[in-house]
Amino acid sequence: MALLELVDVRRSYRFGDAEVRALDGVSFEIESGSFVGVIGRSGSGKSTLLNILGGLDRPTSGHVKVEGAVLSTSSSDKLAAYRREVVGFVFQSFNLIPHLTSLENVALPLALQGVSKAERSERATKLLEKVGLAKRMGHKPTELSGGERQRVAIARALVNEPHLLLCDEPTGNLDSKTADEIMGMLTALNREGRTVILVTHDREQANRYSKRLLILADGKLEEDLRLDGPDAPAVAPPPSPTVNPGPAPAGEEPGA
Amino acid sequence: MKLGDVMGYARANLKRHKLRTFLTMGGVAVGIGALVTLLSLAIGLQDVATQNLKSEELVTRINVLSRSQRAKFMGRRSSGVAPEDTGPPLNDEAIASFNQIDGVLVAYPAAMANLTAEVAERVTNLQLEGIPTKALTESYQDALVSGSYWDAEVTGNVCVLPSGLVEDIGLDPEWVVGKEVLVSELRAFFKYKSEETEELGPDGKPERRLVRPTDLETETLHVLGVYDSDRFNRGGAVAHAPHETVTKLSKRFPFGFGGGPKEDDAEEGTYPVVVVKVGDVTKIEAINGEIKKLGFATITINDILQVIGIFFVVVKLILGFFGSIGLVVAIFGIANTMVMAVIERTREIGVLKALGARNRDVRRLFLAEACTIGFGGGLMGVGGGWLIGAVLNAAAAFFFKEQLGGESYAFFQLSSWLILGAIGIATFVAAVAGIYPAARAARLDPVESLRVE
Repeated sequence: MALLELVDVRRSYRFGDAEVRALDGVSFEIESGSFVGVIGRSGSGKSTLLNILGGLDRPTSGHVKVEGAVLSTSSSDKLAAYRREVVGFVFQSFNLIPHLTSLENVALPLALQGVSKAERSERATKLLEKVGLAKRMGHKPTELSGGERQRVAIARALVNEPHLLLCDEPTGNLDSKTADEIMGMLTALNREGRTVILVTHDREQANRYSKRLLILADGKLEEDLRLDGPDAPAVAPPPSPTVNPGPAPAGEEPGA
Repeated sequence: MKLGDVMGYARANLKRHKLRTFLTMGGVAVGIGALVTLLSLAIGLQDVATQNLKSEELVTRINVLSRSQRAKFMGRRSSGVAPEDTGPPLNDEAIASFNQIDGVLVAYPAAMANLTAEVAERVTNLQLEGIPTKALTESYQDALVSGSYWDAEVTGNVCVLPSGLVEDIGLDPEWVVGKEVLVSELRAFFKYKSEETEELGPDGKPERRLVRPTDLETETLHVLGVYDSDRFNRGGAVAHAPHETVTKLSKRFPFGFGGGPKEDDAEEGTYPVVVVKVGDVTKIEAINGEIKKLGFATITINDILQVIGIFFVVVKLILGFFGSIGLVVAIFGIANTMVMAVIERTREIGVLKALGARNRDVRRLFLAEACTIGFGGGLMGVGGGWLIGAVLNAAAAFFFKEQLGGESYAFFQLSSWLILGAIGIATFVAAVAGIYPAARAARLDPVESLRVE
């Protein structure tokens, strides 16, 4: 079953008299459990696509369906609920709340859901342990390295048990070694059954980790490549080295 | 998002900018402090003005007047009575009907004599109030400093002096019991002559004493006791004597009104004021109502307290108005701080929205922050207002003791409603100041916000 479905999605912005078409009739489906890379030059519409998939933005026209629910016409409260319960975001610049500790940052989505403090703390702790930051729970973002921050951000994105993980250039601000660690982590999460959508301008990275590649140009879907045949089942085997050339991620859970 | 979490998040944000938070709270505190100081002054003044009126003696007393008299006394507007409308005559028949009302201890025509009194070679003027023996309730007995009151057996030419007067003329309350007071007409005060004696005073000059004119008509009263004048009226100089005695004296030495029938007015056999003494304070309103039903006008201490209360409502409104000016300024301070906070934290708002915060969650976060500033400022302001009042009270006490040699009053008084009200107003006003910034934060577009650096 398709996890999400886009039909002729358009998004245009007006700047005075000029109309900019960020997305210009995009249609595709994504199966549950896939790892999809979205690439394109800047201005190709990939960020707009991610915002629409994440329920942060609505298309000007067209339909977006996620798990059977129509996002394109939902109220802002429904979209907020969708972001709270279905989606996890990982951003290029981490977007941690600067005055909260790692633990509080990870627990924040649960606070927004109204989960009790004890349960919040328990679940956030488990996730921070999982990403290898057991000793960094009381630290604020400024006291963490870039890689550590992104791991906190991933833990935060996972704390609400999302079906869909949306990653916007998650390694853009990291050195290559840390970037590999983070990508390894995302791969492992995908293997656990989570659908991952990775927006990047790094074609090589997209090739290496994705099972499917969407290439955007000028707001249109230029190519839709299956890198290892049809989408893998929910719990997929590790990507084979022949299909994914280059060094495989060092450990499944770096730092653990 | 749960309210507790909203509050916690708001507090954490305020802690991040301690100085800014403190300064904004300071603005609220100045406004609330001014408001609290001024209103506590109004409360204190009202208390000072009314504390003497709340003695049991006054609270259990109904003054009955003819309706036209009340109109004269309380002012035409509040009585709503035409001067010609006198109602039934206030005579012995009326007094008999009052005495039949259940709960009335005794009703009697008010009797007051203004006299000159000589006691132990000291001469003073003396107001003598006539009180029937039946009306001598326990509050009178409790007020005694020395001696006793008269009773059914011991009566006639006796009196109980106020401690204020006894101290003023330099006598000991214990010593004066059993002594004699020579009373004469009020004008006699000026007929006493001052004379040099042979004894020398401490300054080496001859002592002077007052000599009574030989032809002065006098009457002798025996001092039975001394009562604490603070219990009835602070610094009062009204002595108590049996009702018949005062009636008699006021006729013999006419000045002021006697217990006898009115002479200056047309109607024969009527009294200007009749006192109805009530045994139980809780019954006073019911009895008051019955007397009014009989067609008479009354004045109780509640009427007077009511007039004073209305006056102080006006005082509080005026003082409250001036006190609120600072609060209005504080509103702008809070709004400014909150608008700044929204601008600074645009990206954070975007993140919150991306994580699933609804518009109303964001609005609540910022309103909670504004309210916390108001609440904190309110606490500081109440504390500051209390401190200012306490310092000024202490200064007043010092001045009264040093300069006037007496007890001071608490001119600044906090009441629990003022404390809670001030903090409540501060919080509410802050919430009002936060409405616009919070709405602005709630409306922010998440995509735009996340783009802000």
